[in-house]
Amino acid sequence: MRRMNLALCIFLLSCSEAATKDNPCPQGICIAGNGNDGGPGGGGSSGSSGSSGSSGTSGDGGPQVCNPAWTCTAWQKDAQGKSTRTCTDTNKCGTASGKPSEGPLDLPGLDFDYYKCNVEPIFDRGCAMVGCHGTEVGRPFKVYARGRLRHQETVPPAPTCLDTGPQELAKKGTATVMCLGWSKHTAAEWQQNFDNARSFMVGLTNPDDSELLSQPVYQGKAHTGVHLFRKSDADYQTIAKWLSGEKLGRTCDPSPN
Amino acid sequence: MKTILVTLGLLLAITTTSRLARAWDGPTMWYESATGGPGGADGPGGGGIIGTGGASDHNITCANCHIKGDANYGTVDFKPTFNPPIGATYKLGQTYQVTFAMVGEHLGLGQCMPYMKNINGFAAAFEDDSGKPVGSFRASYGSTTSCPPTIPKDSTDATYTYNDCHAVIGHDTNASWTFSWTAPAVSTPVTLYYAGVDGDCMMDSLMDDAKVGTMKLGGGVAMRDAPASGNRALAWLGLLPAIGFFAASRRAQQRR
Repeated sequence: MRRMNLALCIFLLSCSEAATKDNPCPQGICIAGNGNDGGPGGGGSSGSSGSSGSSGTSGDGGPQVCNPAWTCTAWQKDAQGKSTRTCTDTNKCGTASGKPSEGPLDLPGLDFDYYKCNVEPIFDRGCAMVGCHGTEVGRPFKVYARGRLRHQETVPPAPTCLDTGPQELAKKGTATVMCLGWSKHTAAEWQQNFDNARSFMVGLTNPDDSELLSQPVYQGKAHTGVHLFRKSDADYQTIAKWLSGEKLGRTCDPSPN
Repeated sequence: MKTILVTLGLLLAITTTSRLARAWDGPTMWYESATGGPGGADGPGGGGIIGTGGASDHNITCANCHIKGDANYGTVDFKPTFNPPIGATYKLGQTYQVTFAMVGEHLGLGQCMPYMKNINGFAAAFEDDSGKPVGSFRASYGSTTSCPPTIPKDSTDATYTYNDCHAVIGHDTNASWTFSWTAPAVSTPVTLYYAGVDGDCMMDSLMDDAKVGTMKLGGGVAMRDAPASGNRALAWLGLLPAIGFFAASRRAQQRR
């Protein structure tokens, strides 16, 4: 019995080792994101329609075309209360083509509660895959979601896991539903998702013109062949109503999100 | 005694944790809400997007989540076998036993760490040119004709179809998946969309291998050239009166 206890203690002690890049989860329960920071679709896909928007050049046999892959920081308010951000082309094409707005500007005053309860679930379901808009690199539209991309911030350990002390949410929680990947959205994730989404209405009056709708709608833009809804579908209507300024009229409890 | 209690306590913690240690692609999770709600239900899940690459999945594939593959990315394959062989096109109304075998699995084959599993994945859908599911499935659990809303948790069936039954989903610890598909009775061009994942032991969607494929099954032909055995028996039964009449005529001739 004593030997068994000793063996168990050795096993459990090994669980408290610090995570490393090669062994991101020494205790064998919590999963870490890996250190590979390849772009979206970076692994490629055999026989797949693929989803990469960050390949630097394209064209077979013809002139090489460099496709910018814009990566933007989170929106920040400056001293004048205007929102600004910085966008850089991951592919370094040397062009401003398609560069998202960096401000300073006033983000549209859309309803946060309506977004949390009605719009975010649509994005979580159909957009937030880590090879699509669940990526920090190369996509102006970015969605943090449980089980997909998690924000780079330090958070308390998940109560159901053996980690102790502050944890890196992005490293431990991205692309998994285990432990921190299962944990609720943080305030920063909600705010950045909301700000990022509403920035697609900057300078527009008609929601149909927003890329949030014109890209994923059937018979809309190419969007790598991925089309999620038709104009008559409830999801399209929900996003359109939010972009038009509709309010939820109550405080949203997005639990368990 | 104190050591034993502490040890037991920690083991309990591990057991509790392992309850949550389910892979994203567990067969019950595909139709769970992507937000995990409402009311704190299990999740987040796939929200009904299975990732076959077909129109029913909005052309989203497994490779949209399984990214940053390992050095041998793209070497796994998923090979279909039809019984009876499907040939150049399918036969109208024919039921085929379809087996997909993972070829070239190279991840998760060693000893996984405690509470981790070698999680693979497979899904398939048959669609017409408009993107609508065609024909009908019979999986190890569920069938199109009596499509179950959910599947039992921790089920060990090899294949599943449930909820809207637009696709067949493979159990995540298998490397081969068999189900039956009955072709449509009316001729229409059919495409088989399939997608599979060779997972490692890490139970996330990074550093796996993935394969997405399509197979054009043509527009279908009538079954008269190769009737199913059941139909053949029925045909012989239909001939019985004629055979009886022929035999009676022969006997009458012989008596004369």
